[in-house]
Order: sequence, then structure tokens, then C-alpha cells
Amino acid sequence: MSLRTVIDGAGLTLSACASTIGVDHELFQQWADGKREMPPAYATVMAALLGVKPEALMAKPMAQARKSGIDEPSAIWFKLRGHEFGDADRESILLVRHLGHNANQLEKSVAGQANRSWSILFKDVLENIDLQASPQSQGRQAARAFCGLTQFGGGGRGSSEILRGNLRSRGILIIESPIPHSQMEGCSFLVGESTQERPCIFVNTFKSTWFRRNVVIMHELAHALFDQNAGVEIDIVANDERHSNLRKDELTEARAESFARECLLPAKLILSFCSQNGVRPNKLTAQSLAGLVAFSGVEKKTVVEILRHNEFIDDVLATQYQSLDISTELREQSDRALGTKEFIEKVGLDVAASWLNKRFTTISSRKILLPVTYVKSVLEAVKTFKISIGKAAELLMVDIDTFYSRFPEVVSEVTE
Amino acid sequence: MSGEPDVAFIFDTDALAQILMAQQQNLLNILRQDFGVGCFIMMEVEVELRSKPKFSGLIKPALEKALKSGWIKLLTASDLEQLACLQGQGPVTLADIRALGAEYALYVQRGEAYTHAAAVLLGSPAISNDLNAIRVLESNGKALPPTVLRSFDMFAFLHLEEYLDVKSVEQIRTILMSYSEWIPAPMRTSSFVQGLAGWDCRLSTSLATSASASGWAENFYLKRKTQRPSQNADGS
Repeated sequence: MSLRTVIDGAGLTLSACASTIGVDHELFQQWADGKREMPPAYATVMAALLGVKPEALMAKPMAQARKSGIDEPSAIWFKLRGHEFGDADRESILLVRHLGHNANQLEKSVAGQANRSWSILFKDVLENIDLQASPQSQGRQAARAFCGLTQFGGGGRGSSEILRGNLRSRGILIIESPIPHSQMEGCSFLVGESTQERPCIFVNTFKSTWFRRNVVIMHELAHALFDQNAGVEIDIVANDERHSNLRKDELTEARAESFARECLLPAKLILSFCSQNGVRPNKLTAQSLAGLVAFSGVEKKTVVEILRHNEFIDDVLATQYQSLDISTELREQSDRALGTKEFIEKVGLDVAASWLNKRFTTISSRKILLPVTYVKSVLEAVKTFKISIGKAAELLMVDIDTFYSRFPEVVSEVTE
Repeated sequence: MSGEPDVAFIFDTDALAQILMAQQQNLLNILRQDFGVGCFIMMEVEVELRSKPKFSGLIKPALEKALKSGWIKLLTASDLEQLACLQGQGPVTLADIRALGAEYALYVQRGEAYTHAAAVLLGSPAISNDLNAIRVLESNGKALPPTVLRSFDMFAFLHLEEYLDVKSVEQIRTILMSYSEWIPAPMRTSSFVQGLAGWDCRLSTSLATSASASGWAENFYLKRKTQRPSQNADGS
């Protein structure tokens, strides 16, 4: 039994693991085969990535670890072994789990402890659920409790613009990064050491819109909220009806979708929009439908489904709305609908370039896009001498030279 | 030198990498033989050195050679027993160092975290070029080693002690500059020897091995155990 067996069991490769923690492949192989002892500092990181106890990865106690079952990788890796997932999915999730570990480290170095306010919020929301109610009803009850406890839906506005900041401020990790040609649309799982776990929501941005991702984030949040015991939920792109129906039939999916819709676009918000704009839900044009999408931050497909579900429209009108092309109108009403080139043209290169190419990890050939707020927090910690430049590079998963070239102003501020 | 070292130097990744990149690993042997310095690294430093993507072709073979020759050692439990005795300290275990290192690693990189942790607990000098990391540990209220030396303290000291001639130190400076490595400010625009006049070397000799009590940036004194190379050459 060796680290290699645990890694194989997770469906990962040694080289992917070595790259992700920035260790020489030859040396990592020696650790994997138990030929050399893995230093505890690295065992802690690998344990957090694989979802096992650190002692399970130390060379000597490996046999004991096997007996006690603490060497078995976490639920996410079992799910990701499925044929529908590839190396790109697994390696991206490995990086995301590394980020989860790093986020805990950052919070401990800056605030003394990891942010666990999400656990209080989750507990409070779950107390308001009737577990005997239908899945859809449970989702709605949870959404109402959630909105009441947060600022979601306040002031008669959509919550899409604030959802990321709001969730991150409660210690929930949200990563939006592209995995090209992957079937994974989103997933939620726990990251961090076993005593300091936090929910992590990952959304694949490849060929996805901001409006779609808002729905996916809230859907995955519902999984994190309701399905914590499962340890992981993965949602794949439902690109055919058979697949779509299969997923929707599941209790957990129905509940999660109901939660997402109620949080992002409850009926009262639709009425509020209509009242403010002098339109009626059953008389929407491409212009006003685009307005509702821009107002709520919810993709057209879901908006129309919500209108239908609330019986504002019938099936015929729903089909008609779904066939409307609102892309031009939406671009006029929301910068979120602009492509990168259009956005740069609109806001100017200087503003757009401030974060351009500064958020991708470089530690391994697979890359993920880090959240702006996370990068900002790391840089702030450097500027206030909470962490060193080397530590910042480690937390951002880039090599030190990349850190120097990306953030010269931060470096010059803290060095002689 | 035979027998146990008088003092341990705990090397961090960046400082040792410079010594290895400049192919000056034999300096570690001189420190041991002629000044009673035992040179040690923590496992985390070894990992970082082996994993440096930049210049790994230079560093890895030089590190292998230094480790194989015993010029530098991975700090082990048996080393700790000996070192604790000679420093007049209570027993220090690897577990103690790992616990403190894990705490420091929240603020600085693993290599320097475990290096400083070992140096603090053993009361030994740490060899590190990362001033930013030291400032960060200081600002977070963490204890620092009695003395922190830099790679250039080694080069300058061994130049002043006549082990490295002018040509050698200039070559070291040129090599490290060509790799965009850190070098002391006065040496960036002038030669090693000229720059040395405007730079405080923290390592020198005295009648006894000792550290200045006033802070980590003060001098450390080594006691020479053999004659100077020039005296040897003269046959005196």
C-alpha cells in the first residue's frame, strides 16, 4: 500500500499531483512508492487535495492507514472516476481543492482562523425546512429562509450582482474557470482539511454565460446546503432531453433547481420588474424579455421556465419566448452580455487590462482562473506584511517570477 | 575538522541555491573543516531545491554532491541531540520544529518557515536571503533566529579569510547577476570587492564562536580552527 495506490484510487496521475503541489516529479514518485518519507508540510497539502488524513500519506503508517480506511480518497474522486469525466476534469478539481486549502491558510494567517460563517447560515436555513414537504417546496422554503438571512432579493432588485461577494464573505469558495470540452457544468464539494472543511462551488465557464452561471452557482449552493452528507454533487451539461429529464427526476436536482430559481427570480421580483417597466409577463417583447434577463441576471431559458412555472404564461407562449433571439437587446442592456472584445472596446483597455492575465495559475500545465477577490486578498496580505511574497506566490499557485512580473507595484511596496 | 561541529548553520532554499548555482558547494566543507560549522537543511528545503524549475540542471547535481560528501546534511533526530547539547539548550525534537514550522508556514514559504523554526529552537544562525519573509515573521510577532546571515555573508567572509580570491568572488557575482538572482545593492553597479566596502558583512572571526545579542541582523563570530590558507602556503 502506498501513496501511489491512494492516487490511483482517486483516478489521478502522479505527475498531475506532483505538478499541482509544485514538487519535482522524480521526488514525488519516490514519495508515492514509499522510498522516501514525504515531509509533513507536503503530506498536509496532499491530504487536503485527496481528502484523506495526513497520517495516511506518511510512508510508515501506510499499512495501518489501510486497515482503518483513512487512506480512501474523498467522495469527489469516486464520482470523478466516471467515464463521462476526463483528466482535464480531475486535474482542474485537484487545483480547485488546492485553492480550498490555500484559502484556509490565507484566512488563518490574516484573521487567525478560517471563515466558517457559512456553517451558521446553513444551519439556520435548514431549521426552516419541512423535510416531509415535496422537493420543490423544500427548495422554495430554503430559498426564502436564505434570502431572509442574507441580502438576497432586497430592494426589489435581482441578486445576481451580489451573490458571489455575499457567498464568499461567508467562507464559501466559488471558482469559475474554463475546462474546455468537459461535460461538467458545475459541482459542489467540501475542501480543506477535515477539521476545517468549507463548501466549494466550481462552475465551468467554457462556452457559458454569466447569466447561466448565476443559476448554476445557486443550484450548486443548494447541493452544498442540502446534500452535505453526500460530500459531493456534480452536474453535467444537459444537452439532450433524455439526459435532462433523467436529472430533473431526481429529488436532489428538483430541490436544487427550485432553490436556485426562488433565490434568483421569485414571482414578486417578476411583478416588480413588470410594474417598474409598464409591461406584462404575457406580453413581453425581445426588448422587455432581455430587460428581465438583465434585471435578474438569470439566463433567458430559466427566466421563461420560471414564468411558465408561476403560470404567468402558458406552454405556447413559453415556446414562443424561448425562440426569441434577445442577444442584441441584451448586449444593449447589460455589460455582462458583452464578449471580451466588446467589453474592452466599451470600458477601455486600461480598465479591462487591470486583471487581464493575472489570475490564471501557472504551477501546473492545467490552469484555473482565480477569483478577483481572492487575488486581491492575497495582495492585501502581502502589502500589510501578513504574508511574504513567496507565500503569496504559493497561495496564488504561481511561480515566484510570475508573481514579480504580474504585481511589480506590490513587490516594490514591500521590498527595499 | 574531525568530531562534532561547534555551531550549526541552517540554510534556507534561496541562500543555498545561490551557493549551488555558483558551484561553490565546497565552501560548506571549508566552513565545517576550518570553522567548526555544521551545515544543515530541513527536508522542506531539500524539496524546494529539487523542485526549482529554474536552473534545476545546475542545482540538483551540486546538491547531490554536497549531500553525498556530507558537506551539508538533512537535519535528523540524532543531529538534534548533538546540537542541543553543544548549544546548551534543552532537548529539541523534530516534532517541535515541525510544529513551529507549520505555524510559520502560514506566513512564509515552507522552506524558510522550517528553516527559521529550526534555527529559533536550536539558537543557531539561519542562512536566508529573504528579508521580506523575515519582516513578515517579525510583524506577526514570531521569534526569529539569533542571527540571520545571507549567502553573500558566506562569500564575503570566505573572501576576507582568503579562501576565495578576487577573480572567484567576481565570477560568483557575475554568475548570479546573469541569473537575475539577488545580490547586495552596492555590488549591483560595482565589482564584488568595491561593493564590499559599502556593505556590512555579518560574518567574521573572533576568539570564540558567538552571536551578537542585539538582534538577528547583527554580526556572528566564528572561531578559526585551522591556520589561514596564506599561512599554510607559507609553511608557517
